[in-house]
Amino acid sequence: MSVVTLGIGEYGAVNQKGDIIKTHALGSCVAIIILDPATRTVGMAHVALPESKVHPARAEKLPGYFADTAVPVLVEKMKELGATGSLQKMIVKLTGGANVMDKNNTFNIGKRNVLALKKELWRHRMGARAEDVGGTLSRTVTVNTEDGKVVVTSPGREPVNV
Amino acid sequence: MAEIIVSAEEILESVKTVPALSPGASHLLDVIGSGVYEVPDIVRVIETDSALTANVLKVVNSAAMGLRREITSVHQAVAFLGDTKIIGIALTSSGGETFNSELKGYAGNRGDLGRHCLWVAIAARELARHTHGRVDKGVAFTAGLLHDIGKAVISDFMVDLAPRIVARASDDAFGDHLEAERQIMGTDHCEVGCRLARHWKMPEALIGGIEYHHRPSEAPEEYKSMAYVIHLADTLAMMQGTGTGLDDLQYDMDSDYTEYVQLDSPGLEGLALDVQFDFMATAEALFGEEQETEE
Repeated sequence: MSVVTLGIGEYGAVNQKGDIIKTHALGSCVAIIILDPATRTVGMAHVALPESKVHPARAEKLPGYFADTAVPVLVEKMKELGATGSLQKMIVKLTGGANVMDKNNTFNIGKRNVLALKKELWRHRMGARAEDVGGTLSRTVTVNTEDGKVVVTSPGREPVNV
Repeated sequence: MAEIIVSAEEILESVKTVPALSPGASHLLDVIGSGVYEVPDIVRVIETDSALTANVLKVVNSAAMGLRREITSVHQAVAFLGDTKIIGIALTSSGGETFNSELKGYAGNRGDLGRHCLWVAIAARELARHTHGRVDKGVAFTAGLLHDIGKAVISDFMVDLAPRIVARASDDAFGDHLEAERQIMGTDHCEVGCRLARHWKMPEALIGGIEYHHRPSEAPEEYKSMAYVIHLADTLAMMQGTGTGLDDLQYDMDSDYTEYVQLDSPGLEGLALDVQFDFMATAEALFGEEQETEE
């Protein structure tokens, strides 16, 4: 049994019984979680920005950092680990994408990250089944391979199953 | 409505028990705070303090820094890593426990404060480039590094009060976490930080960045640009998930920063990305690997 903790821009997958994958303090970043029911493989990426196109060198080094490059590498990583389900049968969940308390909405990176991930999922003919996004909460998310529960915790809020 | 149950004066007085900075570190802050220094001045101050020199060389030569050759002088270290990073190493290593405190009151892990301050320091240095020369990059970096030192002191008083502060911040649509700290404790981490900075006899330019980083519009005119730079850097750090714990994203953002920092949203996103990469290359050497609290 292993515990994989992802930093910002990282992605990974687990599939042994009892394995856990998690990421901390999402802020305006979004965690995309993909579950393959056929093999109980769980993948996750900690996405920080919507688009890689103006930062190609950074995207090559840390593809999980950007919504558009994170989805394909995450799916590939899950397949390497033995995920066999078709993309359309995989379950996708999203969490994070918080905003700052700004009356003028200067920053909307959180919202744009969520939209960019949905657009990329749509390109792969996938869609998010559940989400806990937005607001001003910084979220931490933990998923285990035992039951595939996606548990989101935030300061001052009871844990949420997404 | 005020609801104060610990004495603010007790908290503010407690800064006097924080150990003084080493003479070398104090001298370094004076030189940087003057805003009129050259790189050789920094090298000279560090070189004349053997403890600072030893700390800088130890961190620079640590495996986490990943340099291929051994660095044997402060001069070489500056050439390899740049002057601001060397300032960061000198100060965090001589501030000892202050930067490495656990911040129990903010539910932070050991190292979170130091990591957050480093992120803000690097971001402030980069934002200073967009202030038409109104903010010096070294002063900005240093103020960023020190902006939250008040948390190291106030955190211990917050341990039992944290749930009430969080509840107050979320129940009051007009206030933020800073307002909640003031209501429950009669003071906040900015005021305590300012008091500690005065105890450490820091230059006024740095104190301005510490005192007004959540309320930049209230800063005296001469420190306003600095206060907005730190405010913006702090906001970006929390958005990128490098905050200090339960207060992440719980502060009002003042979007009037556009008068002081000329950078549009895509520019800020690009800057945050560059800062993140720079941060990842330095944080481990300074603060060790990220630690987690058992849940």
